[in-house]
Amino acid sequence: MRSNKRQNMKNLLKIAALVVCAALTVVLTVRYSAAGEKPKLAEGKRLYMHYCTMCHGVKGDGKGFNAGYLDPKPADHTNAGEMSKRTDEKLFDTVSGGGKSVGKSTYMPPWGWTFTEAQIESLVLYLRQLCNCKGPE
Amino acid sequence: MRLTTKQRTVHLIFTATLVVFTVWAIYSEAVSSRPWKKYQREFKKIELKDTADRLNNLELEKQKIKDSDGLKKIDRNIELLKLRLAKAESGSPKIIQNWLLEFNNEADRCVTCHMAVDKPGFEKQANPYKTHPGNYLEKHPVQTFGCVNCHDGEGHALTVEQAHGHGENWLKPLLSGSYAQSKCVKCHSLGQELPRDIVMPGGEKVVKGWRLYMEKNCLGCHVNSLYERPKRIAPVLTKVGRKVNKEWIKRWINKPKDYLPKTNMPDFSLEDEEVELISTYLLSLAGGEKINEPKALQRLNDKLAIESGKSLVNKLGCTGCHTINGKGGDFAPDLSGIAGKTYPEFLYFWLKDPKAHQPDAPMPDLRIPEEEIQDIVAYLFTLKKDKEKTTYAWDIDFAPEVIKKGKDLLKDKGCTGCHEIEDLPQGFNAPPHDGVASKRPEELIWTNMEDFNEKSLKNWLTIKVMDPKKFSSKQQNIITRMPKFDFTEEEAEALVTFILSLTKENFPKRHLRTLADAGSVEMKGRKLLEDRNCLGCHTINKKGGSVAPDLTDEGRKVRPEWLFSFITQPYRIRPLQEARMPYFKLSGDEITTMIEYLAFVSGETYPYIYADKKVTYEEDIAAGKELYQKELACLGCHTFEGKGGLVGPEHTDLASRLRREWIESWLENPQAIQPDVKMPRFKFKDKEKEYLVDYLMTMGRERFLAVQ
Ligand code: HEC
Repeated sequence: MRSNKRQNMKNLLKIAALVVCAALTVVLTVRYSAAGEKPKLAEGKRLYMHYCTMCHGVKGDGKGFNAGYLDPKPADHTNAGEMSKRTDEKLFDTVSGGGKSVGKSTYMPPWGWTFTEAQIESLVLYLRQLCNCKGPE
Repeated sequence: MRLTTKQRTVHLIFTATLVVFTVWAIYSEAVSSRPWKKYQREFKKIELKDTADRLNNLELEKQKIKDSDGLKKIDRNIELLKLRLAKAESGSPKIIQNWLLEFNNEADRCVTCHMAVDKPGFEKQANPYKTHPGNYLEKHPVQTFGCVNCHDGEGHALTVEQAHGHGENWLKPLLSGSYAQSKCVKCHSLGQELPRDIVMPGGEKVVKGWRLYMEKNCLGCHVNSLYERPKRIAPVLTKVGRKVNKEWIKRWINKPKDYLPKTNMPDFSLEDEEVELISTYLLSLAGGEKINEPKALQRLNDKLAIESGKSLVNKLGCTGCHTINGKGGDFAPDLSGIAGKTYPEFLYFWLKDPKAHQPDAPMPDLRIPEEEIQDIVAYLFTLKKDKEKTTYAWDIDFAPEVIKKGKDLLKDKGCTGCHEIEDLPQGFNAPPHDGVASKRPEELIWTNMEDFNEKSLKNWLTIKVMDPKKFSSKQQNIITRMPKFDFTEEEAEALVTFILSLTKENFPKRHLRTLADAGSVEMKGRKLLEDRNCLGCHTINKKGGSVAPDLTDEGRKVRPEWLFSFITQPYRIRPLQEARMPYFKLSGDEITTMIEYLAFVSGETYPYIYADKKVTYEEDIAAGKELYQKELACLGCHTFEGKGGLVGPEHTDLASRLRREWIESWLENPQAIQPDVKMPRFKFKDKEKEYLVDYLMTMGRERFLAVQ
């Protein structure tokens, strides 16, 4: 009788350990695969062309066809002087949370619920290419 | 008593004769005069083997099964198979016959040999041991419908040759393969008003034939009491002389497919002289009238205009219907050779309003501003031109006797079957199509084909459709007027399948069905959509063009009364939308059909029940306005009463256009409704979204009320 009970306990433990292991593996795989999604310049350019150029212009100089009505005017992303003052994190936050989240105009919309993090990182990569500059260390 | 030698000989002879006769009788009974017995025996073998194999497999499977439910099930199957085995083993060959009580009491004995038609499991066998393909018999049990009602042949005959209708004087030879589909439409009739893209599962071929019959307008020349003669489908020619040049019209009449490979206009194989006469008559009709539109010439050869014209034809939606330089649809003619057909002033005049030239022109008014028309004309006139020299009606001296000869010839050729010309009566006395498929091969003219040894109606029709002039002969004075349509073999097969349905036989009323209710919202809508080629530009359920908005969701999205006013008088909603919704000049009934159909497509009931009959409070509206103007800065992209950005649709008439429910689902996640939309997705706190929509529903309210 007794040994039987112990046997049962052992089995239970074994199963529990297995379940925990499996759950961990799944969680980690999901995490890593999401993290593994690297930002891509080409994707950044595609998104910029489709979603940003109406305001920021095809060249990124802030002269899109929709800029006329806006006040303040859309940022000039080719302006290396200004752009190099902003860290990549700051740019990420601006694109993700919109102008309002960084104390700027709400005419800059928030994109964080439209794009994935990797897509926004791609956009930041492309912004860096447009200004041909780096952010402060 | 002793028999004499003589008696013995007689006895022997009789005995021998008896034996020979008996043997012959048995042989004849068993093999030669009742060939069906052979097939039954053969099928019995096949069935026994098949059933035994299955039993074996089940027994093997049974050993692997442990649970009681599974065992029960398998035991039941085994029992069924055993019954089937016993049934197959017992019984001697016999004639099997279906009395078709509803079909003239005919006796149909085909299943005597075709024993497996309604037994599943013999799909891979050869005929006659094969299961009927497809699921036709599910709704047409062979006991009720028999075989001959769909396949023709001589149902009560019991020899191969005769049963298949090849016996002497039998009028209905077997309809092989998909030709049997001609019978589908005897009960499932294809109404003229049905959309052409209608589907009949299992009847694809005959539907395709019906579509060709309608598209090529066979009814223009042949009457057929099943259908009304349609309105003339080709352009009105009464004023063609002010439109096209002589070189073009001659080439066109001579060989239409030379200019437009996809045209429905057939080839009449005319002599050069006939071409000359008919084109002269047609050109004379305009009375030397030249279109005077000096603006058409102002920007010709202007590089900028040509560039702009080139991009306009793609942007405006022209290519939704026309092909231009290899790109576009084939609902309307390819425009790549237009420069060789007409002159700039005419094209300009036409584009301003096609209905000014031809009141019932299928081309809608595209609301194109004059400068843009100039650009389009400039561009189209840079495209290829095959003949440099062009002569127009006003440069020709017409001789009255030539005109008269041309007119007579034109009437004789039957051009008025498809074209309206002056006040000439429509149509032409081609043989009527009522009951054509009940004709006997002997009633048909087989000139030039006397040696052909498969003289069946089906073969005759196929030859006729593929090459109408095949049976004509100058020596015998047999003249064929029917033009050549250049059908592919597959098209000819489909068309013949449909024509074979035009028999005199009638099926019992109880079984008559229309394929679909032509009066239903769905069918009426689809037909209208097809007639106007809406899907050349719009998409519905992933089918259609991409120059104009997707309409799958339209019925859920917009208000019916707005849609009504928009279709009547379209205007620009989206600054980014370049294609322009044309004025179709639809009737009120047609627009209502359209609205009901769009509601149907998006799964809405019509008329809609409004969710915005909700009480709104001033404070909520004010809170929404605050969000609209400050937080979300909607005016950054949308214009309201003349102020705002140019990316999204205008908001000035928003409340009169959109339905509240739809706006709510849109704001929740725009990309879920339109994946590539440029509008970002916003996250709302608490009741923010409701306040915003409360405010949105006040925008353009007056217009909304006015529309109502
Ligand atoms: C509706 C017009 C509009 C659209 C669309 C738009 N922006 Fe902007 N954006 C603006 C405006 C206006 C500003 C300036 C805000 C200010 O200076 O207060 C701005 C500023 C910015 C800035 C901030 C620069 C700085 O000064 O820190 C970045 C980065 C930016 N936009 C990126 C983007 C990207 C990436 C997209 C596309 C995903 C985009 N924007 C789409 C209007 C727009």
